[in-house]
Amino acid sequence: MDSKKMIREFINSTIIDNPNGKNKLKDTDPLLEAGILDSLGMMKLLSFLEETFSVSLEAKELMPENFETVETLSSLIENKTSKY
Amino acid sequence: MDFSLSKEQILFQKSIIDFARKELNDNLIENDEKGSFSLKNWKKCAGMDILSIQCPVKYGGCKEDFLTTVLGIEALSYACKDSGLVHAIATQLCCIILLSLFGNETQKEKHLPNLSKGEKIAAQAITEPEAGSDVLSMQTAAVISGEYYKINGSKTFISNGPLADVIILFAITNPNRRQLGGVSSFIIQKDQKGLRKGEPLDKMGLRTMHNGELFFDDCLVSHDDILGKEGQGMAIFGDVIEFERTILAAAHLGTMQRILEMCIQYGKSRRQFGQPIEKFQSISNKISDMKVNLELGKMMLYKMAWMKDQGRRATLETSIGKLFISESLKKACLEAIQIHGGYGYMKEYEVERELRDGIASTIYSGTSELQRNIISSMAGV
Repeated sequence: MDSKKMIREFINSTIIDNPNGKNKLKDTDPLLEAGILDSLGMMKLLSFLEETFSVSLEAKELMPENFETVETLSSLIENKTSKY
Repeated sequence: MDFSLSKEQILFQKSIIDFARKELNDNLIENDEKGSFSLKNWKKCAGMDILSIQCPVKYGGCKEDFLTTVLGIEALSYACKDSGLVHAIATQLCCIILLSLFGNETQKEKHLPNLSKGEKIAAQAITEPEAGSDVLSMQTAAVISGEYYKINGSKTFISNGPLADVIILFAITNPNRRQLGGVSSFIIQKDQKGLRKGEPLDKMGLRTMHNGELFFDDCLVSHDDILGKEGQGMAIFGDVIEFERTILAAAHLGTMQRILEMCIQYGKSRRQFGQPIEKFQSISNKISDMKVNLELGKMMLYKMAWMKDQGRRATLETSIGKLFISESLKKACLEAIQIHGGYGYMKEYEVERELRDGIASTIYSGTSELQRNIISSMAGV
């Protein structure tokens, strides 16, 4: 399971309005600072992460440092899945 | 998949229905006209452990699973015609859930026993004059000032606000990170210096539930009174709003059941053109639609509650349920007036009050328009 790839593809296809595949998101691009994740985007992303990786994200984990980039999101997911 | 309720859940609902019918329906028209909150009935509900149903046993509660809680609120709202009181209780339960989930030991020990016994009243302060559905545009700010946070701003339309002893306030702590990490929640007590509570707002319905403005002028709050951690506010809000939408939807369904039964009864007793009006399809079709919406709403409500019991995120489900059930309630209230004709328009028959109380359900806890935005977005738009 390549969580980084799955998260990146989800954001590219579902959150970013990017129909022609241009300007694809990189793993280190800032998600919050660049405004990629708005409130609705955040709701979609949380549901995707919990359903796809069978994890439950707690409020204490919903902090900026975990949602900065695709890389940090992937680390969060891998830390959680490795505990099971 | 088992759709049946347990024997305990059925008995629990029955005990609440018997209690509410006997104890909570006094002076309804007068209290509505005066906008009087019945502290006496609030205390009776506390005596029935209705307020402690989501409070952990350790803090004096009788913590039930969330589905059972939802069934209890549905039963309460079915039998108690004072929708304002039910709304005040729903608000209290949401605050208790919030504190149970995110409070530290000290905060839980300090607040939960009083709240679950109904000795103190709680409110959540989120909405602002310029930040309704657009929560993140809130302006109320908490700035670190030595050992304290200094809070400035105002909140409006706060359920239980004018009566509240304990307020859970959401404020900006980092304006550059509104989306995540920039909002924090605080526990504020009524005698906190710098807090001023407005008079109850005069409103169309839910008049027995006091709702008003809160003003914070250099209100100093200790670091010990932050709920969760600094910056967790939106995460906390996102979690609690799912419980809130479910509890309120349970109340709406209870009311719908009562309205349906009232309309069926009236349809049998009211005669026109030589027969009961229920014999006219234009009346019976309205009753069919009410019943369909009630049953579909129940299925969705119980799924929402089940998901929260599983510890699952239910953003989409609670939005669907909240939208469908609140719109169904509003429709049922309008149809009930139509079925009752001129009598339905008169205060004496208490149908018009149901409509005035019910309309707000499509506005508070996220308008129907906002729910549709969430649903379409989650569906892939």
